[in-house]
This record gives sequence, structure tokens and C-alpha cells, in this order.
Amino acid sequence: MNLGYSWVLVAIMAVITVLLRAAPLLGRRWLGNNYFIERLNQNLPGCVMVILVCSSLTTASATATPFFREIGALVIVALSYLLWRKALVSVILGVALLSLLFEVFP
Amino acid sequence: MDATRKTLWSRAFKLTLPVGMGYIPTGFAFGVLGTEAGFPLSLTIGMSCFIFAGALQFAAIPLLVSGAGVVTMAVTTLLINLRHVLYALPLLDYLPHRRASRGYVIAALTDENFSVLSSTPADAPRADLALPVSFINHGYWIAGTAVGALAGQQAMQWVPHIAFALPCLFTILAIEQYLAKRSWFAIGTGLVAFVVARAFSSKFVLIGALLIGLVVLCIKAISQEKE
Repeated sequence: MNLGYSWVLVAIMAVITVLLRAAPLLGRRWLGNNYFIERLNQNLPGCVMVILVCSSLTTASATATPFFREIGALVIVALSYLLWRKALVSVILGVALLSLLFEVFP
Repeated sequence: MDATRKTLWSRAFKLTLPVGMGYIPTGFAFGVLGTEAGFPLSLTIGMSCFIFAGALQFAAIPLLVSGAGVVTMAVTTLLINLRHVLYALPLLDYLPHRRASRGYVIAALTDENFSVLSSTPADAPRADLALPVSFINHGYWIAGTAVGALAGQQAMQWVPHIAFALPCLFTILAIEQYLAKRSWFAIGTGLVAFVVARAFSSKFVLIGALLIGLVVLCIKAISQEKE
């Protein structure tokens, strides 16, 4: 990993993020009444999050295939979050359960 | 600090406590994962200072490690944070009057800052609270990251599979998005886009899936606009 290049990428992420957040100041009238942007924002965040789940699952997986331990742990994470709405509890539960599953099914 | 300012900051502190409960552990997880990925302390903490966008920061870890291209990083940022475009709109009349404070509040407008600022009681001095609320929440995030990055090596020894915290966190955020919008179409599009992108490329899966998802959702938005 090239540290200088990493800082350039961090700067790019920071600038684009700030520009997106500041967009309404620049185009208040256009954005405020734009039905297309409104419809896009209805679905885009959920779609992006699902893609991030899949992508991070393949990156974080300790084994190539299959993902049954990871998927099983994620199902429990989802159920526990729907039940208790405690993000930290669900994350801890997920990591602990995955460690347990690797012990039981090495 | 005069009495009015003190009251304002203490009120902001009370308003931001629930966010702190989420930001400190999540920032901690980011700090640990950054250390695990081999980032120096300055880069991990710098990301939390200058980007301040949880989902993007987590998604950026593998991309930085793999030395992703500038275009890949720019498009990923755009797609993950596009939702922020609309956040400032309902707050425009409640932003601080001073230009520097206004600029900082806008730059730090995360999902959580938006939810706190937009749900502040109507009788509260919203414009005056915007700066302390944003500043305190940003502080939680940076503090969590710093502690996580410093404790990273030990945390990895104590907790195997800690990298799995990332898919867990994204799953929770996906559930939150579903509960907010109730759109199965968004969930299905994300799944199909990922499967299709993975079938065609092993190197550009994330960016490919994000672009496929964006195209499908643009087509849907255009068709809804015509109806």
C-alpha cells in the first residue's frame, strides 16, 4: 500500500462527500423540485447497502467457499437487530457466533 | 464561555448522546479494521476527520488495500454518498449564520447529524444548535476511531474474525434502509447487480455492481417520472 497515493484517494473521497452534502446550497431550486433525484434516492441507499453486504462478505470470509457459516451468522445478526434494535449487540453477536461456528465446523 | 453558550453546548450534548452510543463503538470497529488492514494511525484517524462517512470509510478499506484507481474510488464515493444530496435541503433555513460554521455543518452532514438536526424541537434554537451537535458527533466518531486504531493489534488477538463486524454493520444499515423506504425492489436490485457483476469480473465487482444498480434504478426512476 502506497501511503501517499492512499492520502490522495482519501482527499478525493472527502472532496466528493463534501460536494454532495453542499449540493443543495448550489442548486437549491433544481434539487428541491427534482422528482427524478427524489425517486432515485428512494431506492439507491438500500441497493447500495445490499451490494456492500455482499462485497464485504466476500472480502471478510476466511474461506473461499462455501459461505454457510457467514450467512448463518448474518441471519442471526439480522434477526437480533429486528428484535432488539441494538446495533452494537448484533455486531458482537455476529462476530462471536462466527468464531463459534468456525470452532464447531472447522 | 458565557452562560447561553454553555447551555447550548450542554443541550447539544444531551441531544447527541444516543448518536454517541452508536458512533463510539462503530468508530472503534473502523479503527480496529484500519489497523488490521495495515493502515498507519494517521491515515485511519485522518479518514474519520476528513471524510466522516461511516459506510464509505468501511467500504474504502479493501479498496485502499488493493490500491484501487481514482475513478473507482470517485464513483464508489458518489454512489454510496449520493443520498446526502438531499439532506441539507430541509435544513437550509436552520443553518448557522456564520459562513465557517455553516460550511462545517454542511461538510459534517452525516445520516445521524441529519436525523438529530431535523428532529430538534421546533421551539429550539436550531441554527445555534447545528454547530455544537455536528461538532460533538464528529468528536465521538474520531475518538472511537482513535481508540480502536490504538487498541487494534490487541483487539485482533482477543477477537478472531473481527473483520466480520463489517458485513454485520452493513446488514444492519441495509435493514435500516429497508425499514425507512420499504422497497424490496432496492434489495432485489442490489442482490442481482452483485451476482451479475461477480459473474463478469473478479477484479471490479464492487464498482461493477454499483454501476449496474445505478443504471437499473435510473431506468426505474425515469419510467416512474413518465407515469
